Amino acid sequence: MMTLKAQPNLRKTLFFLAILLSAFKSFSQSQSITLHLKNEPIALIIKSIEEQSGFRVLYNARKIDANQKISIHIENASLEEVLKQLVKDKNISFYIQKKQVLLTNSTPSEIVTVKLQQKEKSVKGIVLGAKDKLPLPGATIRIKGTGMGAITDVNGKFVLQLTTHNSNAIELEVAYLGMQTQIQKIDNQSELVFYLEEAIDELNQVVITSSYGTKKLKEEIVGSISTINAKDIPVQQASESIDKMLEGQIAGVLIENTSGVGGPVKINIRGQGTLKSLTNSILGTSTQPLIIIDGVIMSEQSGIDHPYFDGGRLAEGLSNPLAMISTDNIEDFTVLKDAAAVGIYGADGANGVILITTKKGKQGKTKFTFSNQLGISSAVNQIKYLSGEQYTELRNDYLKNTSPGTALLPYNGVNTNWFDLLNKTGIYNKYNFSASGAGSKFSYRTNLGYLNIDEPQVGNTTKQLNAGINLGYNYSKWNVNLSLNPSFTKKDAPNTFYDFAYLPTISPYNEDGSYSNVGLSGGNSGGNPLAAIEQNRNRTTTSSILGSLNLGYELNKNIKFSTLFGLDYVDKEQDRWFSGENESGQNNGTFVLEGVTYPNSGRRLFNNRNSTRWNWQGQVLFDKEINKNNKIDGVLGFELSEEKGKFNYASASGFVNPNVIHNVEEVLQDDDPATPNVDETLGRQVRGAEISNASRVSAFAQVNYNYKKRYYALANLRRDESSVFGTDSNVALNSGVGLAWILSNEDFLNTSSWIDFLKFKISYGSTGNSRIGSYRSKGLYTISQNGYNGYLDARPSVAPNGNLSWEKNLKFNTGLDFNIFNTVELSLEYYYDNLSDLIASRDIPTENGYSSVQLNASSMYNKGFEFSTRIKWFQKEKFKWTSSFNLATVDNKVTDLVGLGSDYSVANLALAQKIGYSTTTIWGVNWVGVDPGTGRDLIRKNGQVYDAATYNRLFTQADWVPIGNTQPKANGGFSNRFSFNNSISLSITGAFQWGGDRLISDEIISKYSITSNRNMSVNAFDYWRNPGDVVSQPAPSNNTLLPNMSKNVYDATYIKISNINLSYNLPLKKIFFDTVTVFADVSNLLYWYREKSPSGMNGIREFSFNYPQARTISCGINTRF
Amino acid sequence: MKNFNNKTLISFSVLFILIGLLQGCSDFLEQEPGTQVSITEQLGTKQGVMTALNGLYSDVEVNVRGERFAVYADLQGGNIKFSPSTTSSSLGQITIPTNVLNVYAFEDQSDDSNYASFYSDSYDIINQANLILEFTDVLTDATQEEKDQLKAEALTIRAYTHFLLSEVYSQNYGYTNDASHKGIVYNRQSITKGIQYPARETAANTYSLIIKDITDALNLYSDNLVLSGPIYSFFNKTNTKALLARVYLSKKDYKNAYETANDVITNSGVSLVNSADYISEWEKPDLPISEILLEFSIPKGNDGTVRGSLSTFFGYTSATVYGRYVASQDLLDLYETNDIRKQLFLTQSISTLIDSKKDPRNYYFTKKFQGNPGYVAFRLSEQYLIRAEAALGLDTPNLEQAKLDINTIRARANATLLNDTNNLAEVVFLERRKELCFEGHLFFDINRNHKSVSRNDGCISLSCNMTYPSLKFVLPIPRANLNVNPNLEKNESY
Repeated sequence: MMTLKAQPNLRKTLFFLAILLSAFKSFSQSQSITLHLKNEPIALIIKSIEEQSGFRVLYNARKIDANQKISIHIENASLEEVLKQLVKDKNISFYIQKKQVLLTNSTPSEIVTVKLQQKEKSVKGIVLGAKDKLPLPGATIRIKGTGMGAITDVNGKFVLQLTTHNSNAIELEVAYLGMQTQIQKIDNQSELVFYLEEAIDELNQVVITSSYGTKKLKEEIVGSISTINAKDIPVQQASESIDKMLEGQIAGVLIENTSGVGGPVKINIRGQGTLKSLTNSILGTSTQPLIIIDGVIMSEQSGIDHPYFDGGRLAEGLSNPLAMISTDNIEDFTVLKDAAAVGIYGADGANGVILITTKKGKQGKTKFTFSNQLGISSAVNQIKYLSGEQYTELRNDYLKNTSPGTALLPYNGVNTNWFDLLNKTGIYNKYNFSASGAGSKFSYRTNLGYLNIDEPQVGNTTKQLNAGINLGYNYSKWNVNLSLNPSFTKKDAPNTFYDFAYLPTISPYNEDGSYSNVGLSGGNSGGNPLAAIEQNRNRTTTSSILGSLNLGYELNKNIKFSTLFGLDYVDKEQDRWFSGENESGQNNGTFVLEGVTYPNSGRRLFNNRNSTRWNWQGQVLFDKEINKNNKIDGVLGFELSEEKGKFNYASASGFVNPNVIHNVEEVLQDDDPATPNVDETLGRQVRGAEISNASRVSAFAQVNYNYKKRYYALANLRRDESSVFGTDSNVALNSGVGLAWILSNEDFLNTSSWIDFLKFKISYGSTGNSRIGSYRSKGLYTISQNGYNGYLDARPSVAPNGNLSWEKNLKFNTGLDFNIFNTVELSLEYYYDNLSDLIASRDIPTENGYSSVQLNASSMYNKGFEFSTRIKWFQKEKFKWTSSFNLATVDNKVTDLVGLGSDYSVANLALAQKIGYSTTTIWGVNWVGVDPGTGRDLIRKNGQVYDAATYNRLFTQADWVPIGNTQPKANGGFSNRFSFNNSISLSITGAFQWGGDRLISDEIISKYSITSNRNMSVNAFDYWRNPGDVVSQPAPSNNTLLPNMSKNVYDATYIKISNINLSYNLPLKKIFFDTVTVFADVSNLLYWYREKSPSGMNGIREFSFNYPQARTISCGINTRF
Repeated sequence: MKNFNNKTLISFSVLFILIGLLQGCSDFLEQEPGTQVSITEQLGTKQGVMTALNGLYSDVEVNVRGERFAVYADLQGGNIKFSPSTTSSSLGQITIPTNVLNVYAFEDQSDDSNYASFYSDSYDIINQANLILEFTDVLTDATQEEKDQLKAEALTIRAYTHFLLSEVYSQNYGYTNDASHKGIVYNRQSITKGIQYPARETAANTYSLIIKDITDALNLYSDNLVLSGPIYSFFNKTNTKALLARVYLSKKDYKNAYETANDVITNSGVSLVNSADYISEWEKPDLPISEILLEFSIPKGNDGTVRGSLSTFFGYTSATVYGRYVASQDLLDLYETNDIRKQLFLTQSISTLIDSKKDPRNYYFTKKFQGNPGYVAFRLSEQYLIRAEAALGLDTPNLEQAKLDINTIRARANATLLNDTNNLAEVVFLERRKELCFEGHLFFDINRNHKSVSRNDGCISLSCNMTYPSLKFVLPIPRANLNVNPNLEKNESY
């Protein structure tokens, strides 16, 4: 195939098959061939060769007379020898490529004229990678100037049969995808060795443009697609999933900075995909991109409208589905952003699409890799809290101000630093093992990774086992691929208290050494945390498998069929036990069993989430060169998908012996004799189940056309029918178009010496967001136990809206790709996403029986620029330096809110939904300072300064003003890679955010009323004591609580070095190993914030994360053998 | 080769056709929720409708037993005063409970009405009744008799709830001569028919719609319950007639009120509690008084514990746990010394903050609602008093019957019997106040009889007295509703 590229004329007819496929053959290539045939047609001989060798022989029947008869006698010869004999004196040359032999007419006209001087020469060679000295199978060898050539076999070897007068003058050009093309003169050599360097030119990279089998050369892409390859993913960064490693690495992709391990993924592509929830509810429209792994649509872990699964107190903790995929198993990570790219995903594409491809087996012998990484983690930028003495002073001042006459507490001399007690140095340990290889038909790769994170939070550990299996089989026109990614995660997190500010005046232990009480009971934050770590359990186990089976059939060189079945199965169970031995398990009330009254102590909670999502797609891909200048390709297909979520829960509290872990079944009580018809024995065991299902049927098409490799056009169309939409509008039709113009292929730029590549592109189209939560259109009844007279009750909970429809997102994108001086690649894009029909809850007259319905009720836009560049400063053998940098802006504004009461509703005005403002606006009041005379907060409103209490009397939430915006003006990242002597390499990656505010909760700053059982940050100590004090916090009292004062808004501008990695290739190549690399890595190295923390106090640096992030320093070894 | 290709082509074509069929097959796209059930599925079976009706009763119970409605008529009329606060910040202080703060002072705020939830909860109930009515007819697994019974109960609940709303939000029927003043929104459609922006009916229309629903229901009732539970906890033919009698009386349709009450008294099979058992019947902790016609069952938890009852507002449990609503001296003074109903009060001494000093004071808790009391919707005594009041209003007043009925009630209470028929209207009014106190009648009686409010003992409002007629005798329609619905008219003065 690769050879043919250079011979378009030949290509046209070459795939005319003359020979039937023979039956199944062995994998073996070394089989020798024996032929004894006399005066038989070539066709017959070829057939015998095929049968014996397992190779297919292809030729153009019009150019090669398959009926000419020859005789051949050969015993136990290799394929090459047989072919040589066969083509002897016949103007036929042959190339061996993969499992095919190509016979072509080999008579260039100019050679004919010097026929007499022609000599035959056979040239052998091998093509190896320069770095790892490994054979490169499938590399193309071309005889320069002729377009003839060969392809390397599994071992990187090739043989060329030359029939020419001066073979020494011939130059061979060797090309391999992703490598620099190399040219060598044959001279007198009969065996050539090519060492190919990795390509600097990224344009020839093949980019996957959808999960439906479409691919394009990077330069030919019309849409806005960013790809990051395995070699650019800092897999040695100490994280448990890919998203965290890519923070800041892709323009326009904001990966939310988080702390802790295993939390849900938060990726925003080009701004917020929907309206910000007014209630911070985890239910509702998805803001996340569609993530597709090897064709499998990954299900998003989202809450459902149920108390055990809605993010509330009883609910499970959500986890990150991307942790299912081993980061070492990821080949590339592609982000589709504009309508030309995501249009093919229709009603699921609005938030962008992420395509993840896992690694496949590469041609060659079985290769193994093994790596191990070990590091230590510790918390950085932790919040400083009040000491015992400071706390006592503050608490007493609070009591003096609020309950005069209350006896004050003297300082008891205890100063417990709970943070230090609950946090330690964590350990990060990762192992990865892989084996891969491929023969001519069969390819395989397996990967096994084990990650053990002993978190800095005392008692919390995460163990993650990820496996990856990729099997491929090619036979004739068929190919089958199986990809399986099983994973198992076990997270133990009894320490749920690490960010709770316990009182410093409480000693963790009693005098007798037992754990003390902290005065907080029940729930998730009660109890002595040290006791809870020892006595409680909070274990989440997740088993999952993500797999796909792909079957392809190549009808001819223009048409391919393929179908894929993908499955994403997750079974997750969270098991919590709150021991009665500490206050977290000491609940209110009592129960009676066998006549004895017991306190209601000990609580067991199980939350089980079981989700199965499958998708089945089938498509036909076509690719047709109409003539030299016009080329068309595309895909047409269907997709069905269904998601079934099963949710089970069981809980009970009140155990006879509540100090040891018990099962829910053990919660019993006496039957109430007053109600003979009802058995109350099991009455305190709560069990239940819930389901959440959705299904979708879609059809899609995409067509690409190009003229002279200069003008490209793309169009796509998708129809989605989904169960989540209302019955009145369950069909979504989306489409997109894009155009690209490669100016550098035009004659007027073709000769430019400094412009390597220049492309202009533009696209427009519609997409939708159908992930609006199941059943939102249906109108629901909720069934509850123990209703009227003790029987089942059903009562309406959600109003129906048969008109409820998906959210729409019209995307416009334009951009330039510009490569100059073989050194700098630039890409600049502008986008404007017009979002409409965003779902919002709107008030309706309560005479309807409901106070609100879900409506497609608002519109907004996201627009901005994306800039990314990659510069290759030096590319010498001794020293290489590559930098990349990206920056993106988002400007968001709500443009329309459909009425129905929004004009009046205080709640809606208060937050994030106001025409003309960004949905990320922080609303609140302008704080002027603390009145030195009275010690109360002063608020400015309309140029007037009010005492906070007066302000609160006069104004409501509707009078709030914008005091910040959480959306940064720009954000992005950078990376630098240095390499010395091909053996030492250093990479530095980082991220930054310019602008963007953060509203810090006043709980630990000035909400003095909660000091009865909570400590506060040291900032709270800067409070007003005496007239004349100029301070930042008011006198401790139950003062008017305005949590959203501008003083709690911080500028979150930062620059962060997320990862530094230094690695060294040990010169051990000859001894068993192919490569051995040792490395040292620091993750989360440092932060720089524009807004400095006041001395001795906390600022944005500390308040950014309630629980601080961890910095991990690690070292490790990678081997390949 | 050709064949092979054709085969492949055919099989792929077949595949695509199959997909096409699947596209058309909408079953795949029908996904139903779990314990949350879509409206159509819930109400698609008899069992589902029954469960929904059971849930509807729960909501009706909460609505009338909740603090707002349960105290409203007695609080506004003057039967009730407050016991000292039990919260630590204001312990011993006599304060107005926040849920009725503005209503008590006759200055409820439209934009933040104390009773906004009563308004919306009532219409939630009405919507549920409408859903049941709309889906019951097409049930395939229920007999006609079962369907009729389900519909009868839903119709009655719809009428009952509208009636309560009309009592609270609309001036009494006789406020204008032809009852052309504003009634309430009468909703006879569920939300499945679309979002409505309804206007208020006149009072006359409101009443005729209520009466139509009740009479329709009476034609549908069978003798068999469809739901499980005590008979008195559901609407049935008898207590629906009791409701109808009350509605007729309120409408001043005395002839029908007389006849309907008479029908209940004669045919209900229930008899008045006798004198000897009167106190003990009320004191029974769990079961209702024996002459009950309708008492809604209180909610209980998994373990059988009571989740809410009228004792929350009226009961006395301990020195720190007691209800905030106690009898005013105004009420207590109405009873003659020997009236056994005077013993229906539990006297408790509670430390009270007076002039910044704490002093014990006596408070009188009603014995009607100690233990685990449910909301008494209808009991037989009221029917006697309805018949008495109606008898007086007949075109030819039947004074003797009125006297007889009043004396029936008085005799049982060991109170002085009437010897003449003088001033019977006032007598029946007072008898109702004494007999039916704490059961949610007084303020509505005052309105119906065009009397004025006079609250003396324990009144801590700036407006202890209100002269009839007053715009403040009805509560404001919540502003949120007015804002979103241009067709809705507000109650004047709010």
